Amino acid sequence: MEINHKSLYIKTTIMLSVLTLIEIGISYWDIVRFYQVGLLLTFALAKMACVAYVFMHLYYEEKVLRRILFVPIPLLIYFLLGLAYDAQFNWVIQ
Amino acid sequence: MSGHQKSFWTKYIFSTDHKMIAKQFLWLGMFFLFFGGALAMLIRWQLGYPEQPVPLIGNWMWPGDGGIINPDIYNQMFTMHGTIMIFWAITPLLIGAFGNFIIPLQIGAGDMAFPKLNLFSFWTMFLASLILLSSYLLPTGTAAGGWTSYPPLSSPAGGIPGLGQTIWTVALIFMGVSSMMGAINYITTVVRMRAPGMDYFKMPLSVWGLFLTSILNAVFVPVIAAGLVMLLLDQTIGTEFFLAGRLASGDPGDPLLFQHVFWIFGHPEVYILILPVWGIISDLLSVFSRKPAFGYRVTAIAMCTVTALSTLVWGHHMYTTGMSPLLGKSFMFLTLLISIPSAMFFLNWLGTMWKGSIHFTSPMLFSIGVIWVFGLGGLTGLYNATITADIYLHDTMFVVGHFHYTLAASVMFGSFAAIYFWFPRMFGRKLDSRLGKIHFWGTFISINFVFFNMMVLGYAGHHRRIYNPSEYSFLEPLTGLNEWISIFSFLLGVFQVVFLINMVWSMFKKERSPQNPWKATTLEWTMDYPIPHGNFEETPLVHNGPHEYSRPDIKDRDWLGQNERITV
Amino acid sequence: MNQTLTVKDPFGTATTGKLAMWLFLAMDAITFAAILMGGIYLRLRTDMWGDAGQVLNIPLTSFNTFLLIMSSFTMVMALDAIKKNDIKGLKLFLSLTILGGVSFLGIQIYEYAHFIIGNAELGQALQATGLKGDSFLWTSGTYGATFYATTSFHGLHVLTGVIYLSVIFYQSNKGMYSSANYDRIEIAGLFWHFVDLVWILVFTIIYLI
Repeated sequence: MEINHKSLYIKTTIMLSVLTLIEIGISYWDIVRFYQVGLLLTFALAKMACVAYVFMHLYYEEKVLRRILFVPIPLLIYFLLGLAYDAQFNWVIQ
Repeated sequence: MSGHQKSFWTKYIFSTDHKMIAKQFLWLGMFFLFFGGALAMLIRWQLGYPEQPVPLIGNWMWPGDGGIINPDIYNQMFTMHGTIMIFWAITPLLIGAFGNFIIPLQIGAGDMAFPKLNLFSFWTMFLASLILLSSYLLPTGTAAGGWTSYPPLSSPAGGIPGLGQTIWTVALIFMGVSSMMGAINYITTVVRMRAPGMDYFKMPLSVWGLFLTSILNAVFVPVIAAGLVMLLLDQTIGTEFFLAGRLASGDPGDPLLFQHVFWIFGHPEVYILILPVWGIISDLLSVFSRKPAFGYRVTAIAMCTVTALSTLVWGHHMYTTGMSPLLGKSFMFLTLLISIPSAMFFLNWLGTMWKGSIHFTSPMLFSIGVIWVFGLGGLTGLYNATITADIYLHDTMFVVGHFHYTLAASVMFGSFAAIYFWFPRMFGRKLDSRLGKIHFWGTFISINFVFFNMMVLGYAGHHRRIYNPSEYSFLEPLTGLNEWISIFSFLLGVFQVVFLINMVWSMFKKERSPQNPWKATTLEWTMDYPIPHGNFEETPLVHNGPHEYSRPDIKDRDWLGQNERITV
Repeated sequence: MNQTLTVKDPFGTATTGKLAMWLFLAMDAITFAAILMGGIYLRLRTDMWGDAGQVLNIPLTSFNTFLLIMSSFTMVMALDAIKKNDIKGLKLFLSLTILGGVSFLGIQIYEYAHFIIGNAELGQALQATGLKGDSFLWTSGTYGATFYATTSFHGLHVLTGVIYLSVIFYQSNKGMYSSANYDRIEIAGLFWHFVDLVWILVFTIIYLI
């Protein structure tokens, strides 16, 4: 591969920095908690995808490897949902 | 490598050869199997003959108590029995020993993908064993919080005093690290090192089982590692992840969090232990029925489905924790779903044997034993998975009977089948089949008596971890049954000694086994004993599936090796 | 019938070492996820939790985030350099990466020291969240426990990464790597980027949310 990746790397770095700044902005922004958390997580995921795809060269790996590495993500979301639901649930004794 | 001169140390101790590491794991597992078994005998003594001095060894072990097992020691015993049997006996026996031995040989690889990592994996395990055993030297004794080690029982703030529980946690973390190294190694080996022609659907089912086990290990051991680290922080530096109520100084944590984390790992763990057995006996039934495994693909895919489903059902261990009905019902539904793929390969096993020419050799007897005990274990699992039944049965002897049927009985029978089957490959000699038959029938009858009647006890309300059943009037009618269970469990122990004698005696007997005594088709039988370092002189080419038995187009014999081509 | 036998390998050109590293990283990610999930669970059960910037120092940590991103960039440049057989560039960028990691650790230690020693201002901030005391410790409720468990586990990864990269640096000093042989650098790079990747999540969940 004789492609010059340098400009891509620089762009990604700048993008990561900018996204971080936006994230910090959101964390001080006084909006509904639900949207705030949602936005922050979205930005975090976007940044993580940037790192994985560009810096870790996942983009150039085979499809299967990419897919297998994404299998744990829905699984972890499932665990989180189960845990979060149980954490907030209380039997109401009347 | 094969001509390379080796010293005693590099050949037997710090070997990177997967076959030697497999044997190391085998002996480690056997040691702990008997250790854990001895603990079980002592537990049974206390339950069958409450607070009577233990015969023979009692006065020597606990002179202060007049040979009686006191409640503290009893708690330590059932804790260590569970921990040792699950993490230090079954795991090294099936995954450590047979995973190491079978995978490279059956897929036609020279060794594991990372031989050195394999070496580290064993020695980390060994270190973990030493750490675990060292807790026995403490004046306060070893861990006593149950094998689940729920806080606050396992926290010094509110539970068992002394360092034992902390050492337990550290040992388990090391053991987890060892498992993770193994998992990386097995997965890369299966993915990368298969011989030419060995497609995924030409792999023997044993390799399938071990492969899926490794995947579960890779995904879930990190979860328990994280949980154990948090527990360790609670135990040592005073964090409060899992402490609540009076025990917490300020802002309370939640003991239920540990249960969640533990069972997110813990439920897949039972499949980690049983999947290799499913795979191994699927192969063995085919070998000794001289028939291709019925529904090979279905079995493989059903095993994958169980693997996937097993990750989603951890909550069924926690029905009585005040879980919301919505979560409880979801977990119940998903758990009951598992019975569908399980039933599929269960029927496939029967289909394999159907109209086969069955050879009742020792490995075959144990494989058939697995069908029986796993069938019972699986069926009783349905009661535990159903919320309404489980709320009554939870933490009773019924649960103990159930999981000993699935884990202890099935997995033990599976390991025995594997040892009887692959012994000629490991040590060049066959195990004695007469002693093998005595071992099988003795084990089979006593194990069924013990665990079936434990379920009866549980149904009558016998609680799981009580010290002295004679203290409760409602358990009085069960005294006789308890005693009988104890007697049969001692018998069970005696028959394992037969096996040990058989193993040691056969290892040194003169008579060598032929190269392929069972006339099996898989690649591990294609070379002479002793198998050289590097296994195959030249990389085998795989032309056939793993179960080519009784092919009508071959006249002179009833099997066709995976690397052979029919010359017509 | 003379078909050639092959093994279907869906993982293509990735070397076995790289595959193993990816597997390890997946397992490591699950460990982090489990700790973070524990933190989220505990947070949902308590009110004594600091809002963004209330207790934790966001500007300082943002600078730390920036450091990690930059060191990720220099790591990828180091790989780029060795692909072009530029040993000098490799060594330059590797040392910059290590420097980034060390500075990150330094700032983290400063942050910890600040919390552990504590002062009245910090005490007031903690008061607002419901926690007692003038210093923010791992015993300061589940908030403190989660904060220290997560960040120190990440810190250990940074430390491991720094040691790992130092070994690689030492090896490249001895001329072990060239444009034909850089697999190990790529694998080390994977680990280092993973540390960055996890930090993004930790930073968001622990500091910002």
